[in-house]
Amino acid sequence: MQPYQNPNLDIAGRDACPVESMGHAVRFSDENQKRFAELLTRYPTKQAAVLPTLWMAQEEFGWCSTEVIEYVAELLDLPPSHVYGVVSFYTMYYRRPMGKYHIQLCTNISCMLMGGETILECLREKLGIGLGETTPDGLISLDEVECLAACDIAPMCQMNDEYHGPFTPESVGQFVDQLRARGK
Amino acid sequence: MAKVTIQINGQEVQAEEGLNLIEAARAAGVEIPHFCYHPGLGVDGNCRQCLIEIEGVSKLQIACNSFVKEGLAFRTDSDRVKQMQAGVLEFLFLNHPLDCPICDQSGECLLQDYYMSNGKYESRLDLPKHHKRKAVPVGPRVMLDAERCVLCTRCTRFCDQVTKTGELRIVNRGYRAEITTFPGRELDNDYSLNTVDICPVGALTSRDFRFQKRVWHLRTAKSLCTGCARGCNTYLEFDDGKAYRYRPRENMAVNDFWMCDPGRVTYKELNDNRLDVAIVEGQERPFHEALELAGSWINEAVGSGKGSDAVVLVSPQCSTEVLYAAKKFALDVLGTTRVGGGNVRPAGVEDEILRRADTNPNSRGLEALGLTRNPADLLSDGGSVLLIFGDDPIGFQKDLADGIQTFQRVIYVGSNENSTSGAAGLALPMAPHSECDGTFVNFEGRVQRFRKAFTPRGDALWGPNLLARIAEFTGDEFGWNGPKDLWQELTSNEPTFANLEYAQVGDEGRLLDAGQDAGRDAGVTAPASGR
Repeated sequence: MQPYQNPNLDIAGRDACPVESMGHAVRFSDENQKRFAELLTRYPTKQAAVLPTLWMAQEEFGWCSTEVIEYVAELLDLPPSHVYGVVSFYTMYYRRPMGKYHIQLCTNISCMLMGGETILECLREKLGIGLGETTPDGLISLDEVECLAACDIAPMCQMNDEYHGPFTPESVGQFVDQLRARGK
Repeated sequence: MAKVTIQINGQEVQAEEGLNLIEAARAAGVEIPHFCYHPGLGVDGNCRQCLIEIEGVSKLQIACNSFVKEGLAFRTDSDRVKQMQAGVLEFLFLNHPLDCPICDQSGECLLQDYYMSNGKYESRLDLPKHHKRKAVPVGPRVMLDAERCVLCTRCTRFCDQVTKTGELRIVNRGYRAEITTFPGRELDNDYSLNTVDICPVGALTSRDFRFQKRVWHLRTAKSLCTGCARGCNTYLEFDDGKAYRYRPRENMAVNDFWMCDPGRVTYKELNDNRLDVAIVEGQERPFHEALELAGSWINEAVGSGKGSDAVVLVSPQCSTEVLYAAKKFALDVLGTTRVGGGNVRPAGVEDEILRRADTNPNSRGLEALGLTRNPADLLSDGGSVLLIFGDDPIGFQKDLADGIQTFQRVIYVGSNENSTSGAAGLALPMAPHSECDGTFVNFEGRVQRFRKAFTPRGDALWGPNLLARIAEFTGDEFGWNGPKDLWQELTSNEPTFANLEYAQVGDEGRLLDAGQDAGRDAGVTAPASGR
């Protein structure tokens, strides 16, 4: 048996769901303001538009900081705590700054059988970061996800809106080099 | 609404059509366990604890969201129901810490109650429990223990529906879900402590009451909040001559199920800074000596024909009984018509929920007895003897000190030491509303009773009795055989209170002009605990 350790010592001071701050207020671009106005017409209540509005905000601002949450809450006449609850529920709303390229590597069963975990190790080594982290230059973020329904190209990943695969340890290195070149 | 016949556990009962089954069962004396449903917050249906078996419906249904209709029959005692309720409870308990020995909710916790009534299973969990944050100050008055929470959302719905401030939400999901506020914000509305009352478990506790007392040691008296003119109905909880907390008492005509945070702390006045003994010129003196001194001062004034020169300054902080006795003392013993008083306190915060700008509990009672006068006017000409009842005129209005100083003799009768008791030549201890029976009349003219919790502290006496003791030295016939006796005299002498028996006032109060009384809102009722 392991010696008893009070797990609460670790938890007591932590936020229930940490969200970082951008340090500045945000506002939709003119184009997104128009899109937002159009969006509202599609729903019976403002509250119903919270998911697409957050998605639009994440597209424009990159991630859902406290400022983004407050802005969306203000737009939809909701308490910020409500939007915070929504953001915390869904894994695809990011509560920390993300790199320009977000690699979401699948390690679910098909990809795992085809060597997905090896690919993950290669990515970690090549990028020098762990899961949930971003390279110091802010270019690439790495996450692990469940099945993306692209088992035909396993092992694969989603990079922003694009699917890439199948990877070998060599090809995934080239993939990262291409991203670095694209990001310059 | 129409009464219809339904069957609960095979027993035929009459129930109001459209009432939900938790309330219908409760009215028939059957308790259906539940966490998320609260009569003041409506149906949410998330906890699934109130599952019952309705005849003709194959699956178990939640009682909170099923409603009474003619011929409905349901069971709360079948094996299926019991097994399902125990199963739901097992899920709720899965990660619940075994905190009871150090948990403040212990003794008034629904998890404990339902485990004993509907659980009593052996734990099947052989994995470590998931732990969440403990002792998180989510607000200046409320402490959160996230791992005790059953996620019933009563608190979040309270902040959405009642205060409309929406501070609290559930974040994350699955077993990691917990209650919290937006980063950097607090649960800091004027009604935040109601979330502690309605929390069915020990997740939200009052930072003021935490670790002060085990609840099973507390005794309870029906009382009233003295924080403002609303007169929220409360339970005053006490032990051994000390008040520990107020809890709101349901009264749909006055405060529903709630009370405000500033009102809640007014119980502290009943403990702190009390005037327990008689004080003469700053020195503590035996009570009978002080009474004799008061009697001699009054005899001196009345004997020299200056009785009509005396002033009795009363306060809307006093009970109707004390006001009546003071009025009678002025008219009959002193022979003065200079009796009355009014608000000396700064205006409070008024909101659309409960709080009123008038921070006195009995302004309408004062008015109904014809005693409303401007304190400054009353004091303006000075005089022989000044008798001050309750409150702290000097502390709240410095200007009044000058008027008070112009009197030859100043007697203060009150419950707390303050600037006025210090300035008076003689200060006599009077029992506050925790230590006697009496009434206040709230802002809409509703006469409400408060009950004695414990015997008066120190030498303190019920106000009318104190006056009777002074009158012994003046030789006047004066005094009553307790509050009920006084009330009977009051109702026959004061036309505004005519024919208003204690029995009519009851627990819900009664409007002075009973014709206006629309009565209690029809519909839901909750048990005394406000669950």
